[in-house]
Amino acid sequence: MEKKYILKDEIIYQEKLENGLTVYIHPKTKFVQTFASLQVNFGGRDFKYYRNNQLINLPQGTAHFLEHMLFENNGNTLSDFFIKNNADINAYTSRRLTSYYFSTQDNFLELLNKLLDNFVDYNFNETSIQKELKIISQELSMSDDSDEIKAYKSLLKLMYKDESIYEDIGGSKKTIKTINKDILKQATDHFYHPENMILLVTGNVNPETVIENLKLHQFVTKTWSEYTPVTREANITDKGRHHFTKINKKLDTNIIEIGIKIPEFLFNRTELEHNIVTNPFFSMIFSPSSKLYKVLKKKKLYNFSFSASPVIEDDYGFFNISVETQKAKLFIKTIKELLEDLPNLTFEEEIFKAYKRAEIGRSIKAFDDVKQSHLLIKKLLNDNIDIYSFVEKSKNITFDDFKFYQEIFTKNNIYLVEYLQ
Amino acid sequence: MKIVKRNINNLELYYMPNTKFKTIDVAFVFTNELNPQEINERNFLSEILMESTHKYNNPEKMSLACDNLYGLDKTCNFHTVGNVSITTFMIRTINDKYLDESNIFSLSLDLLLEIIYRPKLHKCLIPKKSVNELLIQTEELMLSIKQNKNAYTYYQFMREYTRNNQDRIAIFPEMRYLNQVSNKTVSDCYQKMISEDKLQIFIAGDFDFTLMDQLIQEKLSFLVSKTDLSFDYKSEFVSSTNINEVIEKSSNGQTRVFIGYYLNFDYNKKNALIMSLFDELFGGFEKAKLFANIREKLQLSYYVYSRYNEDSNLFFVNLETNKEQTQKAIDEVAKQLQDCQNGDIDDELFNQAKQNLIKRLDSALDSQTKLLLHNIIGYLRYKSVFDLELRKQEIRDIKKEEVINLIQNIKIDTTYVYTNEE
Repeated sequence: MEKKYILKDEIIYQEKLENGLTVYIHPKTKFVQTFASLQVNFGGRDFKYYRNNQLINLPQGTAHFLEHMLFENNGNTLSDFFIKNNADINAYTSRRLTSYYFSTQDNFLELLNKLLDNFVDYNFNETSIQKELKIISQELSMSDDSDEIKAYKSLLKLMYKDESIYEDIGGSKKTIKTINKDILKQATDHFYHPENMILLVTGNVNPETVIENLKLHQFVTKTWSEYTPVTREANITDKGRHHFTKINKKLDTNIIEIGIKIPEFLFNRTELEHNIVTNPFFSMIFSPSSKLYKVLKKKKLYNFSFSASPVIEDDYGFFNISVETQKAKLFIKTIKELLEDLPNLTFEEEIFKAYKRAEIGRSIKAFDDVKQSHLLIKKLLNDNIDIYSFVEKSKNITFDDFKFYQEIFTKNNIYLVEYLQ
Repeated sequence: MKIVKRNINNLELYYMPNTKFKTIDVAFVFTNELNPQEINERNFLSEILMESTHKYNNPEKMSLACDNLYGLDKTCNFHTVGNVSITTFMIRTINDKYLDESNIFSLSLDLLLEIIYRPKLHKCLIPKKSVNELLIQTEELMLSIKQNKNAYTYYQFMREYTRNNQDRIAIFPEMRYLNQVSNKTVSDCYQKMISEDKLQIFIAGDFDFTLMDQLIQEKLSFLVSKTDLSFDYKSEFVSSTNINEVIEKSSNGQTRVFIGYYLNFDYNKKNALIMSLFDELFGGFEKAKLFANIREKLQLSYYVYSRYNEDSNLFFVNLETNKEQTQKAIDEVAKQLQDCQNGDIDDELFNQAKQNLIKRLDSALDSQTKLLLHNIIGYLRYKSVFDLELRKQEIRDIKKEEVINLIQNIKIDTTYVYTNEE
C-alpha cells in the first residue's frame, strides 16, 4: 500500500487490488463519520463508444437507468440494509461516470461488503425494470418547465456538434423505453469491471483493515474476465453559429447564457492543467477587484442571479457566464466589450498575493471537514488531477499560467444564447 | 463539546472549546422581538454591512482584506424563530496554530467588529446608493424566483400557508412594506440592532481561555449591550375553519403540490421533538410512509417529502407528479396521514426514524459550525445549552402513543397546486 501526503498531516493510502480496482483511503480518525464512493467510469455520454474497434450504441440514458437498477440487483433492495444500519446510501450519474456512495458512523466494513456484493454479478427482473421506468420518466419530466436549463442546453448545442455534450444524461422518455435486460447486461459487461472503477474512503478507518477486508471479498477474489477498455470520440467543433435568440412572451425575465470555448489546440495541451488553473483565473476575472465586476456593478448589471465558472470535462472545456436580467441588451453589449478586452488585462500583484493566501486557507478548511475532504478528493480524482500535488500546484500558479486563457477571449470563441421576453 | 459561559464586561459570552478543528468560529447573535415592518430592512442590512465598512469602503477592499486573512469566511443572515428576529454575524478563521503567523485570529475579530460596528456611512446614514441597489436587485430577484418554478411554487405556497400569520412568520421580501424602505429606515433599523437587540457572543475552537478573555476585554470594551429582552418566546399559528385550496394554472410542465398543515398543539420542547420524529417517519427518508407508498409502491412521483420547520412550528408535504395523477397523489398523502393517526406505524419504521434523528445529531460532532448553531438556537428557544446526550436520550424515550396522540391535532390548512391549463 502506497502512503502519500496531500498536506503535512493529511495522508492518502493507495492500492491497486488484484482485480484491478484502485482504492484510495484517507483516514480522518478524529471524525465520527466515514464516507465511501465507488465510481464506475460509465456515464451519460456512453451511448456510443468503441470497443475492440467496433462502434457500439446503447439507448441514451442507459448509465442512469443502470444506476437506478443497481439498487434492485438480484431481487434485493440495497438501501434496506444501509437504512437498517443507520447509514445513508445514494448514487448519481454524471456525463462521465456513475457514483455510488454511502456514509456511516458504524459498521463500515460490513456496509462496504454489502455495497460490493452488489457488483459481483447482475440480475435485474422485469418488474423492477418497469417500476424504475415509471420513476425515471417522472424524474425526466421535472425539468420540462425550466427555461434556465433549456437556455444552458441551447448554449451547449451552439458550441458543440456532439450530442453526448448537450443531451440529457438520463436520456428521454422515448430512449429509456427501449432499455431492457439485454441492454443492461451489455452495459454491465462493458463497463462494470473493477479495472474500470475506483473506490475512495474518507473517515474514521484503519487503511490496513480496509484493504485486508477488501482482499477477502468475492468482488476481489472472483475471477474476472480481462477488461477491454472502451474509447470515445466527441466532435467538439461548432455548427458555425455563435448566436441564438429565442423569444418567449411567457418568460418573466430574460435569460442570457455566454460560453467562451477553450479551443481544441489549447484544450489538448493537458500539461497546462486546465482543472487547476481555470478556476483561479476566472475567479480573478470576476473578483470584486476586477474591471469586469466594477463595470457591471456600476451599470447595475450585476445581480443575485449572475454566475461565472469554468466547465472542464475531459474532452472539452469552456467558460460559462449566465444571468437573468431585465437589461438584456445593455448586459450583452457591455459584457461582450469587457470579454473582448480581456487579452489586454493586467493582473495586480497585490490582489494575486492575497488570492494565494486565501487558497492556503481554503485548503486547510477543506480538510477540516470529513465530508468536504471526501468531496474534494473525489472531484480531483474525477477530474484526473494528481491529488498529491494539487495543493502545492494551486499555491504556485503564476500570471503566466493565465496568459493562455486570456488570449482565447476573442469573437471566434464567444457564443451567446438569449432567451428574451 | 462542552460550553462555558464567561462574564467579561457584562457581555453574554460563551466559549465552546475543542481541539478537533483547525478553525475558530465566532458568532455575534443579535435578537429582538420580530417586527414584520423591519423584515426587508433587516435582510438588506445583512447584505450591506458585509459588502463594505468605514475602513474597507468598497467590495474590492473588503474582498482583499478577507483574502489576506487566509480566505476569512464571513456570513450574515437574518431569520426568525417564532416571534424572535435573529441577525447572526459569523466568521470562520484559520487557527493561528496552523499558520506561520500569530495574529490572524485577532485581525479576523477586528474585521468582524469593523463590519458590525463601523459601517460605511454617508451623512451619518447607510448610503442611499447601497439601499437603492438592493431594491433594484430585489425586483430582479422576484422575477428570477417567478421564472424558477421550484422557487416560485415554494414562495407562493408559503405566502398562502402563512396568510393569517404574516406578522409572525417572516418571508423576504415582505411586499407589503417594500415601498417604504429607504436608507433612513435601514439606518434606523441598524441603530436599533446595535443598541436595543440582545447580544450573545459564541466562540468555538482550540484556544486558551485566559488569552481569549484578554483579547475580548481589549477589543470589546466599548460594547454595552442588552443581555435580556422583555418578551417571551412564542410560536403561534392562526389557521382558518375552511381549507385554503389554491390552484394556479400556469405551469407548462409537471404539477407541483404543496400541502400545509395546521399543528393544533402547544409548541414546546417535547412536542417539537415528537413532531420532528413524526416528520422523519412520515416523509423524511426512503422507508418513510410517503416515499415508500407514493414513489416506490405507486410510482406517482420522483420525489415526495415532508418538512417540519421547528422555528415556526410549520409542517408541509411537497411532491411533483403528472397532472392526471395529482388527485390520486393528494389522496394518498391524506390516506398515509390518516393511517398514522389511526396508529398504523410499525415498530421497525418508528425505531428507524429515531435512529435517523440520533445519527443526524451525532454527525453534528463533525462540524464546529453546526454545533455552534445548535447552541445558538438552543439558547434562543429554550434558554439552555445544547446537550447532545440529553437530546438523544429524549428521542429514545419517545413512545409511539405520544406520537399518535400528538398528530391527532394535525389538520390540513392549505393545499397549493401549480398545474397546467389543459
